[in-house]
Amino acid sequence: MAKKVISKEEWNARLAEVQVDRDDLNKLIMNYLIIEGYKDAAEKFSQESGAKPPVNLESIQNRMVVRTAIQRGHIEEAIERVNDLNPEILDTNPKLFFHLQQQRLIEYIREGRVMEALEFAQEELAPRGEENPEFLSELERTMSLLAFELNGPSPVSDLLTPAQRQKLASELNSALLLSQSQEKDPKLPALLKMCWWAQQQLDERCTYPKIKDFNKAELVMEPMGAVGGGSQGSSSSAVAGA
Amino acid sequence: MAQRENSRDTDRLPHEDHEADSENDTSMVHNFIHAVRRPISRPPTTIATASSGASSATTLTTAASSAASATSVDSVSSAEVTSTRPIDSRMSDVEQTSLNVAPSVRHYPQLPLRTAQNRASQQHPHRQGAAIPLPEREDSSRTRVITFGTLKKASMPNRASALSPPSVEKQSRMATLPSYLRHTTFVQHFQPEGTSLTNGPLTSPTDRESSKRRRLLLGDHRRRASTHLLTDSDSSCEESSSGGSSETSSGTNSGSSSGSESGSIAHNHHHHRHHNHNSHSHHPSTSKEGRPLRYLLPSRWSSVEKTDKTELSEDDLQVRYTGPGKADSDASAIRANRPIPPQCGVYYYEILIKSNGQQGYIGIGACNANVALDRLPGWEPLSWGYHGDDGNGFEGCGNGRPFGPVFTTGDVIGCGINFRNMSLFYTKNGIYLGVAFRNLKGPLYPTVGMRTSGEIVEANFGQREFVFNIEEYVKDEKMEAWQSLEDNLQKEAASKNQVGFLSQNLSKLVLSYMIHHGYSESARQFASDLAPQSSNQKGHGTHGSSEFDCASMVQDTERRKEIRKTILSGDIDQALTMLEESYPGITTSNEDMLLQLRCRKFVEMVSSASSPLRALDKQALVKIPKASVSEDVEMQDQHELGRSDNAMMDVDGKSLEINAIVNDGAPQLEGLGLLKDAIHYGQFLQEKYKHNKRSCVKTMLIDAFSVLAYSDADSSSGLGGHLGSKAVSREKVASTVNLAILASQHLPTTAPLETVYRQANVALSELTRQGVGEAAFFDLTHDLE
Repeated sequence: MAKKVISKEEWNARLAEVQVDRDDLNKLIMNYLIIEGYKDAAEKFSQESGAKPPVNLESIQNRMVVRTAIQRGHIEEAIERVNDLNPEILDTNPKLFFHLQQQRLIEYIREGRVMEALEFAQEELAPRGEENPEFLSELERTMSLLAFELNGPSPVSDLLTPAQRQKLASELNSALLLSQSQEKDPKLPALLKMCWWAQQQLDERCTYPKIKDFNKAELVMEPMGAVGGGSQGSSSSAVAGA
Repeated sequence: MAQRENSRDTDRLPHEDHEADSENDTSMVHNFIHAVRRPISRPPTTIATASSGASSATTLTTAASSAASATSVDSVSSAEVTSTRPIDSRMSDVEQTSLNVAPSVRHYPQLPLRTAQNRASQQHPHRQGAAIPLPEREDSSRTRVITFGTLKKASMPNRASALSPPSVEKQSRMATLPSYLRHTTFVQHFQPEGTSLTNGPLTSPTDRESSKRRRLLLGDHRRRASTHLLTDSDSSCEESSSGGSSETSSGTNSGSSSGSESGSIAHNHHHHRHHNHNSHSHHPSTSKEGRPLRYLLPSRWSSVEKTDKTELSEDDLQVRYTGPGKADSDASAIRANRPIPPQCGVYYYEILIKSNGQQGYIGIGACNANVALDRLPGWEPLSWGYHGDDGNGFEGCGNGRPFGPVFTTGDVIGCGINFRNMSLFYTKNGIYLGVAFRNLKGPLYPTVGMRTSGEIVEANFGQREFVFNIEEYVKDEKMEAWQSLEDNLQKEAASKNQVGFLSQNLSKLVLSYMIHHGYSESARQFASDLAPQSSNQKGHGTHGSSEFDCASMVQDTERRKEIRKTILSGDIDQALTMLEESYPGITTSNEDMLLQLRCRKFVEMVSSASSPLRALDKQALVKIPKASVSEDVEMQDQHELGRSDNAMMDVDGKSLEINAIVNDGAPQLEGLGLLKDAIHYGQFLQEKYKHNKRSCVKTMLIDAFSVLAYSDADSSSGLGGHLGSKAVSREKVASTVNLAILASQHLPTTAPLETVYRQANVALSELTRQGVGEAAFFDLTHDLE
């Protein structure tokens, strides 16, 4: 079965027909900044774009302090602050609390404090790992950081990326939002997810210009050979039109 | 009492009234008990009780209590109902009684009104522009009102008088979308029946306003919808053609009674012509494949896809078995008027067993177009049915397997098709019975079959509120769809061994968006908010450099902003200088951009010269002898182009002897000086580009020089729009320059976030087009609002 091919030209024409309202995209951005706790940026963005913040920006200050602490790698500070705000949050969220402790461990390792890392893992994390097998495997994965050169390539190097901290910061942030009973569904990730899902579904059915890297959002036409030789003929004719 | 009057005015309910009087059903008490005790198989959320679905349990409870006591406060109408007719279990009565809850709500479906004007306007669907009556998403409390037409009536008080009674008699069409589909994307693709509602109630101010809110996504569909009114029936035609149904186009089937089939087909062809015509003239860039399809739902029983052993009621909703009813070969099935579009995600209809007849051999389900109609649903391949006499489920063969309870007179059996997983489920009196069949294959039609005499069933294809809380079901499905999306995403992330490979893009998308649109302060702030994560990052050098990129990109944004501002102020020379300073070489590598800037400069020069000169007699200019600069070549050029040569020749001529013009007073003198400069510059342009044979270059030059023909260069109306107003043409140049800069920096010309948005939109549309039911659950407009 030859897969249907939608030429770049055809696809671009369709993309161009989508009406996009700047205000609506601005709202998406604003929603993201507020939910993620970027207060100053939200303020500036509100001034520059005219998008109105749906909540009082002061209320996101607390969350921002926590986020900043996590993103700087100051996990203990973040835990303290969260407990100041609402001690129940961590009590009722064992998974979140485990992830915070895990990040502490990562930070120890990153800073080369191996002895402290080992001690911390044994005393704080291992008991939790025993309660929950999922935690245990995550713990093991984290500990294997010690087996590799920090700056070199390793199967667990993702734990050292900023994305790891950012992910934790977001997790903590949603927990805080939930406790403040604020809107917690970020729209921007939903947009990306829908786009990703639609592309994934479409991949099974046809060939079309696709976003591979969501950073750049460049549209790439899948090379035909990769899917199956049979579709070669139909594709070349369709692409020739482009 | 208002609703009583309504029904008389519009005279739309002969069927309803007649039924209520003639049918006396004693099983109502039993039925109410059922309803009240209805176990909630799908635990409703707290919101569900208040939701528009008004979970039928609530409705029925109210109905039961008021029927029992008739002491409701505002119970005039309900008292009337309860006293003048024996209450049966029919849903319509239940809903009438529920008027206690919402006195203004009328349960009758809003019928498409087919007046002469309407039919006339149907002939020009493309003129209807933005007035396409798409059902709006409403907050839950209003959904019901919209669905059942009260609001429409309120906003169109005079419509009733425009009706000619015979033409509405046979109408039980759905002009609105069943409310349960409002939570899905299908709403965008839904084509209300009777597409002529241009001036109809759905274009009331509120609707228009809310449609404006949704234009982000819908604008597209909406706009194109107006030119593709019938693509819905195109699609159903395609699907059902094998079944030989001539009724797939019944959306255009006018309300006149039986003999109208052939007429409606002709009518339909007419639409097709329009459609084709429009798609070519209005959207040449959109291929036939690219257009969004619009879909119609089954709305009644087909008067063709049946046997002579059944009779249809006036409104084509009630089926009565009239055959001998002796043997299995006397069975008779009927299909709905069109297949169910999988694009709706979930389709649901309900059958009221009005009479069990002798044996109650009644089957309810779905089948394909070609399935024989002298068999009960489920007995044939590609047919699925649930039978009332034994409660068995039948799937393509004569032997059923136990599925649910038996059903009989007074029961309401719901049949739902879930296109996410191609399964079929049933409900009985509002209770979910579970999935009966899986792996269904389309195109699917709602179907019922009967076999013994006296059997009567009545369908609700969404004209009225359902007994089952289908909205809750759809919401659950939607949540499940999202959950499975998340699961897939996790799998993908795991396979890439990457945490949150989507979410880590977010901050970059946000930043690039800010930069792209020149929100430089925000960008700077946001970049510095993001910075801490990398400040004590060890060994990940790549991140450090991207941070550097941020700063330089912000700077770049500001430079672009400045250049843009300068162009918009009309100072092209300054802009050119800035361009060369900030982006060396960009003018030489972008020939067209440079020419555009130069032409603009020329227009600006003429424009600034022309105001003081306006007093001058233009004839004087024309009389001036021609100059010598490469005149012949230019003449030749102009001749070849066959374009207005007077403007051009004027330019050529004016240059050298311009001082000869009689003038009086300083302003003119100044103006002349400016004009002289302009003309020198124009000559320079002529000389510079005279060997360039590219047609766009010539066009650009001619456009620029044509300003000389008018006294007021930019604002003149005589330009026929090819230059437009000053602001517009400056904007055009500025945007060309902006894009050229972005390209030279290898930056995308659209903000990546916007591209993602467009991509999501187009990809989801394409999935919908390909009939992927699950796509209905992902809705950019609603989910991002």
